[in-house]
Amino acid sequence: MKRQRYAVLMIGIFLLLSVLFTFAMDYSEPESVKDVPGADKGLVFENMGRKTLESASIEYDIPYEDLIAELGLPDDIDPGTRVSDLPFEEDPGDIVKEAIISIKSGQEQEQMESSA
Amino acid sequence: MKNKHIRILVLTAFVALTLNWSLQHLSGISTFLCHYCPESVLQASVLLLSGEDVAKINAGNIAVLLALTVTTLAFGRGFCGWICPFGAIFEYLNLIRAKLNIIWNPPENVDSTLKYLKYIIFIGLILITAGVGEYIFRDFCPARALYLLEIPESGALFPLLILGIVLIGGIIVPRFFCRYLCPLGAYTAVIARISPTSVKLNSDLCIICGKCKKACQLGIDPVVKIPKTECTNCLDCIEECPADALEVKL
Repeated sequence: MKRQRYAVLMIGIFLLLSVLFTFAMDYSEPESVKDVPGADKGLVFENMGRKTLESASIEYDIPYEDLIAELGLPDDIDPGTRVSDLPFEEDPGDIVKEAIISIKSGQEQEQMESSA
Repeated sequence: MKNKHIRILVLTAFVALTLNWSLQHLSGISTFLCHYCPESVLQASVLLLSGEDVAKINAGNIAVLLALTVTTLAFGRGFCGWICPFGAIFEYLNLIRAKLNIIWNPPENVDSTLKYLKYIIFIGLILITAGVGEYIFRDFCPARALYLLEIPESGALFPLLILGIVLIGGIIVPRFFCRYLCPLGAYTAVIARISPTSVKLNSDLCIICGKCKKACQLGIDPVVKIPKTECTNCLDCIEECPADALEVKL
């Protein structure tokens, strides 16, 4: 095999497989709804990694600014940033889930206090 | 253009990609390199086996590890020679080494013994990860220390110290970290053993000029043996061979 052919094939296949596997992982995110914390609040978390910050705030009906503040992200972060691309060292999907649950809990408490 | 220069260009492209990730991470808009480092998922797999939460495993890690494993199975340790953004640093150090006219290489018996260190580190890492239940290599990883592009928080200067040591080592011995210390290199070495692709010598054509040995950064003498576990398929030896006796073959 020629040197150039080896290099192009090897690098090409590595990059192609990385992209393919990333997509495959992304679309088969292992997650059982019933095991997810917050399920008792009627929240269903599926494929968090694929959602953007904006779509997550719309889907879970929470103010975008509250979500950003809860996550400690800069105000100018792109709302189209995918959850899986957030700059957290732990699993970003889990961190966003916890933030949503926390905001929802806060909202529930506020509602209870105002109705009381 | 020479094979070596093409390879350095390719490696530089991967360094640029990694630096781009690092800069995005610094400005808070992207995940860090560790999320795409196959080493992390090796540890994460151990965490999973030892009963830790599956959420500790990042999809990006698994994807890159799978891609690395398949590519290594098919093409040997080409990842180390052509893609690894940390290995690239040692290529740059080699250029400095050449400028400084450093031609020293460790004695063969010392070199062949030290090569086993990376396997010990790899096994130790897996065992300790399973015992502690955390990604312990992050506290030692010189690649992470380099590409973090910022001074770590208090008490985390140890990785920088390790980085300094391996960089100095890289000036003294070519590909110092890759040869002796890299746990991911140990993983690819194990996989490469069963790879059908390797550099092969046609001894009928070989004129035993020694140019291939001189070109090899890993201290391999192709005339004696080309171990798949050590050869990173950089292919510099093939280019240097004046008799066309070396070839990469399936």
